[in-house]
Amino acid sequence: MSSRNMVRDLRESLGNISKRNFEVRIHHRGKSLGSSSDMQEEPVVVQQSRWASLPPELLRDVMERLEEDENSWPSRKDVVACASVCRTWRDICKDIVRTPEFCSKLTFPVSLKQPPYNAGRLRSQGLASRRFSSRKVSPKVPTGIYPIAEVNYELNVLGTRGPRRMQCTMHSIPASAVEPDGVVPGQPKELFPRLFEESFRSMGTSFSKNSIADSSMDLSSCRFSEFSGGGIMDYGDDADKESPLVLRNKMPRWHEQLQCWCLNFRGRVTVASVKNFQLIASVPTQPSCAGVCVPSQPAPPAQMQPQCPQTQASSSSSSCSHDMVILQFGKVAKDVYTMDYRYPLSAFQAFAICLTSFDTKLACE
Amino acid sequence: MAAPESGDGNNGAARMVTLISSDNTRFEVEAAAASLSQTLQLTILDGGGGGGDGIPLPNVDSATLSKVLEYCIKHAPAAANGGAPNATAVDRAELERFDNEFVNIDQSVLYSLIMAAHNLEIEGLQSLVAKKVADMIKGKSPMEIRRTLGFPDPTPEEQAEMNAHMLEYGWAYE
Repeated sequence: MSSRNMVRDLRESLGNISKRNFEVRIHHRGKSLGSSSDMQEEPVVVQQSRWASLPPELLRDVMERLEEDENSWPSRKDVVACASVCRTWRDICKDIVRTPEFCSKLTFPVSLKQPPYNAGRLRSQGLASRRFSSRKVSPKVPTGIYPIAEVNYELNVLGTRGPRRMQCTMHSIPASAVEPDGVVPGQPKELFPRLFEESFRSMGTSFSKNSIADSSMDLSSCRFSEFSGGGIMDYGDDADKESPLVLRNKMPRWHEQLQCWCLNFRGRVTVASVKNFQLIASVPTQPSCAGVCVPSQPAPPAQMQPQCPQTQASSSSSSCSHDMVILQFGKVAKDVYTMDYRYPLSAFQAFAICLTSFDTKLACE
Repeated sequence: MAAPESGDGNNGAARMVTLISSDNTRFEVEAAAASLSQTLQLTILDGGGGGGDGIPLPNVDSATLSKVLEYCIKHAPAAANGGAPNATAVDRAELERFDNEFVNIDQSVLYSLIMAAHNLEIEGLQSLVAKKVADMIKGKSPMEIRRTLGFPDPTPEEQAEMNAHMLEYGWAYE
């Protein structure tokens, strides 16, 4: 019972309440926890540990003060420390701390945890292939170099002029990640449905909500597992989910009137460049390089014809779900580029892939 | 200042009220000071606490109550000015100095204070102590926080949870 109620109770009988009556009431209620006589009888240890039973609303008050003060690391670790003190504290901490998207403060750095990188490494192999790998910093995993992805550039038939063909094997992302309910191992689960829907929206102008909704509907209409018809060596039917996600670049169309190759970047890319590209999920029936670093095998015939309207997508089974651009990169001015990425790529992965576009090799341009 | 065991509350220009601590010590204070407590304010507005009756505070012992009233008396003038828009910088600095000194006390007293502030709904005092506790926590590891606040030793289960946390976020303390 709060003291207010107590006061109210007592106030109702003000005037006819004597000192003795009052004592009796308190005794019956047994609520005189804070009285000095009680304190004197308690052993010191018990008396000190009263903080452990601080009412949640007061604990919350303390932590909110701590939280609002600490805007950045490393001082923000105090909030993390509180979360570790005991379960009650942890629950209140989690309740107070908002996600970085809302408060622009990093508290529980999932973004550092998964995928955990602190150093990228770009390596050229052969004529037209780049791999990048990274050192993990997560304390859960032993430190080491892990391959993240491999990007193969294929010499196009026109030689150095004209669109090139990219194939990007994401060793860190299973192909199942782009299926409905697919996940990237280690990513915080509650984050990606929203990322999936909104990641491009943040750019504001170009991708309308409609196009995104269309794409995700298409995605749910055909599952990747249905295409795993024995094309991949060493993988049984059950194992196809473990195969890496393969991205390939959307092939540009030859524009007769403009006499150039065109890709629709929806306003995000304004300068023609051989470095411009859009990556979409590749059809799993195509035998991917599967980590072997050979010049990439020929991609299936690219969709060069004008794209069918989205409404007909369900009938053209193999192309419909893969029109969603997962990463696009292109030039807007001299030495100025834009990069747009979405689930399942992380910022690090997207940036690393884009960097490979700058690596000039004989076969690449 | 609080005057224990003073009898009648009608001997000053300002209206006085009597508060009775859990150990039956009587405190006579100006109504304006006691009204910093939202809880008491209701009672006082209803005309309670005057005369020989007194307002019993069964959750607050006399040591804590005298400390609480020390705060209330100091802050009452500023509160009466409605947040003191016309308070001088000197006044504010003086209050701040008082506050800093006021919470520079043993943490067991701090605990009694924050509980009393909470029960009596004295917002300023509650945030003052909460801020002090937050300052005590700052820069400490989870174990140090437990020791500072006199938590009992963690149970094996709690210890396991703390270890798991350290495994995950231990780098933060390096």
